[in-house]
Amino acid sequence: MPSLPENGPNGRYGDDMQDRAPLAAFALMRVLLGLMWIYEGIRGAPWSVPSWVAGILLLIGLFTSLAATLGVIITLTVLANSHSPAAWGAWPWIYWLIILMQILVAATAAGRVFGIDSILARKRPRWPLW
Amino acid sequence: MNDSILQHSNTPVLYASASRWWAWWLRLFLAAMWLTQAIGKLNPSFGGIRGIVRVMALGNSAHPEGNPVGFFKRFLLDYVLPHWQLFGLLVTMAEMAVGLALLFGVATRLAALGGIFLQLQYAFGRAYLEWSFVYPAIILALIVLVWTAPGRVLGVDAVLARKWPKWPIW
Repeated sequence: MPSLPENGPNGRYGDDMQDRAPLAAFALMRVLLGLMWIYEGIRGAPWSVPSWVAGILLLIGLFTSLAATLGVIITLTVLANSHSPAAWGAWPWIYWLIILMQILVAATAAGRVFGIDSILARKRPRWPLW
Repeated sequence: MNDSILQHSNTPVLYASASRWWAWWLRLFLAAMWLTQAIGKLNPSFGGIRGIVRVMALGNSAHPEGNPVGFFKRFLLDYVLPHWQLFGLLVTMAEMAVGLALLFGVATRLAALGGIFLQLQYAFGRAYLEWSFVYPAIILALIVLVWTAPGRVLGVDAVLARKWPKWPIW
């Protein structure tokens, strides 16, 4: 019976080279989400302060899981206010897509590829923040 | 463990890399999105794409200047609008095909590339009317599907990849 892929030596996906190449796709996703939240901060939406925090953390790959969780919370807030002119429009699929992308970024620990989390994870591999 | 994954990287399900499992969720979500859009266009209450194309080209009250992408505006006005029924049918069929391919995991990478092509058309037509990250987000999600080939997890591509492992479309 073949076994499922195991986690890497640090206990999370992306720790071994085999996983790292495709996980770069999720790192790219992390960078786009970071730019998106920074854009939200620049355009002065009502959720701009947490947007700046989530955006910068996601962009540099620091505390990625925490930042992505913050992003999910902000997105749910925007969705709850989707009638507001500052929201992202009335098409609900985009909100759920952004939420799913952030969940995937958190789940795959995308900050460990091309991010500061890769350094932190070497020192504290079991911490769930990265 | 690494050797077993390397050795069996084209075999389905149990040896698939972890990232493919995560991308599988994205595949299902995007399949549902495409199918919902296509089915919505088949609904008799749907007003047809004529009005949508007109807005894409000429703008709305918030954007009376019209589409800033000159060549695409001309394409919409000269070719799409006069034949809007044909283009409406083609778009609906293309969305249905992408949705079904992603749902069943058939030629997933090819389907995702088709989805990117469709989204680029929408982006040229509608990006100036909408929130800036709508189309980049969808296109990036489709790029992740091309990159990770999630049709090889719980999809027909798992079988196809075993027979033709070198083909890049799954």
